[in-house]
Amino acid sequence: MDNRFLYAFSVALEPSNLFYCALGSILGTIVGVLPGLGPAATCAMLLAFTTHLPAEGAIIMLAGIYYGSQYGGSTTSILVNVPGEAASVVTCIDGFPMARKGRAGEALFIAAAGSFIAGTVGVFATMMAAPSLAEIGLHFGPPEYFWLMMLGLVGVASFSGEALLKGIISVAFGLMLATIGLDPVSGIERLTFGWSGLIGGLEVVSLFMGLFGVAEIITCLEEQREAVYKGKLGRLFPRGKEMVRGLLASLRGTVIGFIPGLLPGVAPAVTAFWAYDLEKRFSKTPRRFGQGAIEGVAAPEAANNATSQAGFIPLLCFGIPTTATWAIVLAALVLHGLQPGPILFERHPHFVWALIGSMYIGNIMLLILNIPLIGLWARISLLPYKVIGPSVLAICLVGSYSVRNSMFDVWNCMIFGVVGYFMKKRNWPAIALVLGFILGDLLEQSLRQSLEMSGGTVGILVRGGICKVLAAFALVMVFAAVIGEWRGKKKSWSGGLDERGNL
Amino acid sequence: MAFGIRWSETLITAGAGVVGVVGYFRLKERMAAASVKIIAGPDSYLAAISLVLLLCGAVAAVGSFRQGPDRTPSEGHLLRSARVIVVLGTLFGYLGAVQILGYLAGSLIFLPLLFCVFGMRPLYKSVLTGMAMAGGFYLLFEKLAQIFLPKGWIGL
Repeated sequence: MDNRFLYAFSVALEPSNLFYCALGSILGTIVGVLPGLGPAATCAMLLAFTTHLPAEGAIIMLAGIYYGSQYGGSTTSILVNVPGEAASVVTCIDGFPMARKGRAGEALFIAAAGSFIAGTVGVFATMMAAPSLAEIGLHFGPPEYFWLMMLGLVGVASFSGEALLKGIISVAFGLMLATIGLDPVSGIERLTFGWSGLIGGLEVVSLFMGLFGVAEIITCLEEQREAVYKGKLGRLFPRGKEMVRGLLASLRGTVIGFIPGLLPGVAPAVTAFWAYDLEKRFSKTPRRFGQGAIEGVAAPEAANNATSQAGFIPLLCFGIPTTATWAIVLAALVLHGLQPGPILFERHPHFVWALIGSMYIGNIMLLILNIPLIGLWARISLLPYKVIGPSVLAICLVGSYSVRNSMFDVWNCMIFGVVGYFMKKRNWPAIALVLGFILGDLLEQSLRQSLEMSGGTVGILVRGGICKVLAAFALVMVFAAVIGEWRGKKKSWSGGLDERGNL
Repeated sequence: MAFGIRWSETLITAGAGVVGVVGYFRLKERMAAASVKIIAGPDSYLAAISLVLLLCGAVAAVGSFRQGPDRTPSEGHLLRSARVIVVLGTLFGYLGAVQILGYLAGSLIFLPLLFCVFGMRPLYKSVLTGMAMAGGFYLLFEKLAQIFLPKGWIGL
């Protein structure tokens, strides 16, 4: 364990890795601060350009953007009641009231501290758990991988979006899009309908840029708000009991955010809400919540960062991304010829430990950046959308072209931008479509290999102990989603009344 | 509307399933013509996905019949959509211009338009900003980053 620890930091402290870590953290904070530009959109935008960077640097930078955005997202939530990104919505509830009372500095500090605590716990948990989980992955054959992919897809269909049926349809769409092009085994074209442009299949970069980059810009164009903060920040450090309350809430938020973060489809915004809800329920003075309770800022901020960090473990060990941004990181890994899973730990240990170590160093950098530079981030948040929007679209155009030097990919990017816009407006989970697309090839490969091994008998999929356990988990997830939806419908059927007849 | 799914979305889902089924039969023909015989071929996987989509479409349709008609959008929503339509029209025009005229010429024309559509005023500001960005991005990507941008049909 000590050797692992030292090795991780020794490779993470190499100058080039430090540079990319700092770049990713700063970009991530800026992205988090700017309303309307999320980490997924930014990573999608930069994905094509990371192919020109070394693999380590590219992934360290993309990961830095993700956890950096969790730090930055709280800034505008607290200062102007506009969440910088989805996971910081809950922070508005108590963060903005704290700012109105002249305690913006304390709110920003405890948000940064909570994110740091969650990040630290997340990185150490990754260091301890990831190698062991990756070793378990060595015992996985095609049937086990099939259920692992299914678990990921079922999880995202169950937990993302407002209805299980929408999640299933989105996943199925993604799986179908993944079949377009040449079948890798037989070389026969599928769903090309004679169009030569589709023989190579759809480019993952265009899909991401469209669904997350272009769609987000167009959506935010409709919801544009001008945000101005004119108040003072006040003192930075909470005093006495307030500091203790804030730090304890951060620890609780970390636990609440970390464990669900291991599951696909559980967004940081969801765990942030859970953490807030639990703090309020178990508080001795719940009336303080909504009026500027420090726990109402610390807990959700810690939870959302813990969820982001936790998602790294299934990505690294099994190649299953839990959120859209991790899906983009997976695409970046694949573009660099790196397949996540146990093989990655065996063949590229330098890369793996550089990444894990840099996540902790990134968290330290973010704590140092966020506290003294709070005033700077507040000013950056005022950049008008009429400048950001067209710039991002222009970058998406170049980025989607640069992968295969094909205008076809650019058209795809814009078409998926329109699709992504409508999905956002109608609450369809784009992450489910993306996961279906990314995992589709692996799912098909493992299914076909399993059936080849068994001579066509489907029973091979439930023969092994691991297969049975994974299949059981998938079924439990589906049942949990169905029961959750049925309960929601039962309330609406009774006109919004609960069992006691109260509204 | 049922499960939060509108009729139009139900039709799209079912349509995708139908496309998958058509693709499956075309694939079967090609496999037969190429004498490809695999235990778990590319056709069965496609068929399974298409079936899932058709089934989901059917479930959504049955649910919608039981729940009643969709609600129409409010006037405010339509007005917001008009702005989005203008932006999308400009974007697709931009792509067409890049395809025909090349990246530099297409961007010099359409980036100022895009800034204008996004609300930058006065007009001369959007023209100057758009042209500066077009030139700047061309130098950055084409010359510095060596990402060779589209030359268009006229080779600019």
